[in-house]
Formats: sequence, structure tokens, C-alpha cells
Amino acid sequence: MSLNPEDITLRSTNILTVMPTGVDESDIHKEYSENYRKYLAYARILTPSVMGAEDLVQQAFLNVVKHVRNNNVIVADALSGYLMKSIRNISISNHRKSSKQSNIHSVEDSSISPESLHLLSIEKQTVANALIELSATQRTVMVMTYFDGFKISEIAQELSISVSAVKTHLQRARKNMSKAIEANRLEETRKESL
Amino acid sequence: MNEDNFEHDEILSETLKDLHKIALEDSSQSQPMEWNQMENKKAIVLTQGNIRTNRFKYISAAASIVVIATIGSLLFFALNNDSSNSGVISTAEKNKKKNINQTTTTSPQTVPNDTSVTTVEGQKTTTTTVKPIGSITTTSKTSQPQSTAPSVTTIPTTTSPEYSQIAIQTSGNFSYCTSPGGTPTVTNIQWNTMTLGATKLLTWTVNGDTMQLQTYADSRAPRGMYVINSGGSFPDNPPYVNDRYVQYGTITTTICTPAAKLIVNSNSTGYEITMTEY
Repeated sequence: MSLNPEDITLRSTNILTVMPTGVDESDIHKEYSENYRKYLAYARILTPSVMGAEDLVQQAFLNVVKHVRNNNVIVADALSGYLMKSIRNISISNHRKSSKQSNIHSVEDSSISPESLHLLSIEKQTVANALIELSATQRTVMVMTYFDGFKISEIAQELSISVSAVKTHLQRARKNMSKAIEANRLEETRKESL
Repeated sequence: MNEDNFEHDEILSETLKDLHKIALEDSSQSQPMEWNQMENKKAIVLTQGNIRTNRFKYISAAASIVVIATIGSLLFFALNNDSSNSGVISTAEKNKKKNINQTTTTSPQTVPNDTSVTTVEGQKTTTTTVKPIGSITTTSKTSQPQSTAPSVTTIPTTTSPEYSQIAIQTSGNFSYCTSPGGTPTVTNIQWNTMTLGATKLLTWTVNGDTMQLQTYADSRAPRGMYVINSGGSFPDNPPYVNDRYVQYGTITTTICTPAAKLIVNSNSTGYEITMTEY
């Protein structure tokens, strides 16, 4: 069987068209203008501050741009996941920085307004308040587990930590949440009795 | 997932979804910031963040600079001042100025490479003359007849032109003074010529007693300044000399009161050292 040079050209052309293309800055700008709210909403369940959530999203987009400017390739299909991952990592990183600068306190606005909280049932309000009390890492792990549906191994990979560390964070988060929910319930019961 | 019997799995999952939904509805009312505006804002925030983060570093750096500057200034003063003796410093500075003024009127001469010291023994009066600068010549005047012929010892030195700036220090004791009328109060004497930091020792004997003339750099003096110390009774003018300037004038000290008198005369033409025994 002899090979026709035209076939080879066609085959190589087909391969080239199948290969995923990397995003450029214009793609990132487009993603920013079109899907900013999606990322902001995700960031707002990761951080108790609205402004903090906005900062998270903006920083995530800037990181992606910087990554692309450094001649790194981000596949178009992976852009959204990359941004989500970046938001999560920045959230944890900011928490670590802020915990080191314990003497610097910023006035943080709550991610959930009282009006919005009233849209939730009392039980969900209790859970939401308990969620805010968690540390950034614990909250991130909980969000990834119960909102994104990641497995422990996937969380470990995403956050670049070990599986056992994820398990520990998850265990502590659950414990803290249980305590907070129980305390909230007791408080509600006490108020009702009064 | 429910490894620890976490009883709030469902409610937590639903709450998170509700919260996300609420956040989405809230954010639909707000427009995203313009990209350029956002970049500028983040740049400022990053700068502020860096300032906050590096606050401790800045404080540490500032403290280090202060410590280094303090140590540096202390070292500077230690090297350039005799900080251990404030009185000496003030006098030194005075005379330094004085010497500078004197130098403006007369310039020092260079010194020949070789200097010789000639001693005549057995004389009542001994005059040691150093001419020109750096060369020491001892001559004798016979005031009384001597029973023994004087022995002359010539000690070559290796004074180089760099030693042209000479000052003199006396120290120790002198035993030459064995005059009939006087009581030796000094058993030995060292003549220390202060030069450009080098130490040089010239030695000669008078009547069997060792005389020394040596360069001297006083470690107590700041760099560039050498102290003329009076082992006897130097006049006050000037007690200090700067290595850059030749000391002019006559320095007299009594090394064996009242039988002997040592006169050191330095001027623009050379040093004259006169040892007179009364």
C-alpha cells in the first residue's frame, strides 16, 4: 500500500484542528465581562466579605492573565476551572496572610445580607452562620465537598495538599460546624423560651 | 464523605446551593469593574498589601541601618579621634591648627636617605645637632679639659624622605646625667621621632649610656596625628604634632636637673638636639 502525500497533509491538518488551543488575553477579558457574576457568586460562598469576594475574582483573572503573558498555555475548556481553582487558592492564601497580620483588622462586610438570610429557613441560616465561622481552608474544603462535589483526592490535588490534610480539614470543619449549629440551636431555643 | 457521621450533609449542601443562588442574584445587580480600572486597583491593593506584609521587614531594615550607622560612626570616631581622652583631643586639635598655620609660612625639607649620629664621649657638654632633617650629628664642645680622649660613635640610620616630618617624644629615663653637681633623676631616655606612622629606632651611646632616637606613632593618637609626649618637662608649645606638618620651634626638657639639659630644636632646616651637662 502506497501512501499518497496529499493524505498525509490532510491527516496532519485534521490533527492540528483537533488540538486544543490556548486562550489569549482577549479570551480572558471576554470571560471576565461575560461570566464575572458566576465567579463572584462562587467567591462569595468562600469568603464572608463581598469586597473580599470581588478581590478574589479580580485577582484570579489577573493571575490568569499573568500566567498567559508568561507564555503558559491555558486550554480554553479549562479556563473556567483554572479560575475557580485560582479563586479558592487565593482565598486560602489571603486567609494565611491575614492570620499572620493579626494586628491588622479590616472591616469586613458579611457575604450574606440579612435580607438574603431571611430567604433561607432558620435551619439553613444556622448552617450559613456556622459556615462563616470556619477558617478559609475549612470553608473551602467544605464548599468543594458539598457544593462542587469534589472527592477528597481531587481536593488534595486542587489545593496542592495531601489527602490526609484534606481529611483533617474536613473533620475539623464538620466538628466546628456541628458545634456552631448546636450552639445556634441552643441560642434560638433560649430566645424562644424567653 | 460522611466519615464522621456528619448529620448536616444535606442541609449543608442545600444551604451552599441557596447561598450561591442568592449571591448570583445579588451580583446580577452590579456590573463588573472595567478591566483597566480593575488592573489599576489591584496594583494599588497589591502595593498596599506589600507594605503591610513588609512592615516588619521595613522596621527591621530601619533598625539595622540605625545600628550600622551607629557602629560606623563609633568606628569612625575611634579611628580618627582619641576619644578616650577628651582633654588631649582638644589640645591636639588646637596644636594641629597651630601646626597647620605654622606650615603655611615655612615648608618642610626633605630628608636625605642616610642619617648619622656622632657621639663624642668624655665631655662635660655634649651638643647633638641634627641637620638637615633626618640626619643627626653630635658635636662636642669642651668646656673642661678631659683626661680621656673622646670616643666617637657614628650610627648610620636609614631615614628616608618619608620621615621628613619628624616630631619627638621623650620617654623613659636617662642615665647620662652624671655631672658633678647634679643628681641623676633620669636613667634612660628614648627619643621617639614621630614620622609617617613608621617606627624607627636610632641608637647611639654617650659615655657608655645608650641613647635612642626612634620614630614613634602613638597608638592613642588619631590617625594622622602623633603625640609628642614629654618625659621630662616639655614646654607646652606644642605638645602635639601632625604627621603632615613638621613641628617648628624649640623643645626643651630637663632630663637631669639641674646637671643636664636636653634641647631639641626643630625648625624648617632640621632638628637640633643639644644635650648639655652643667
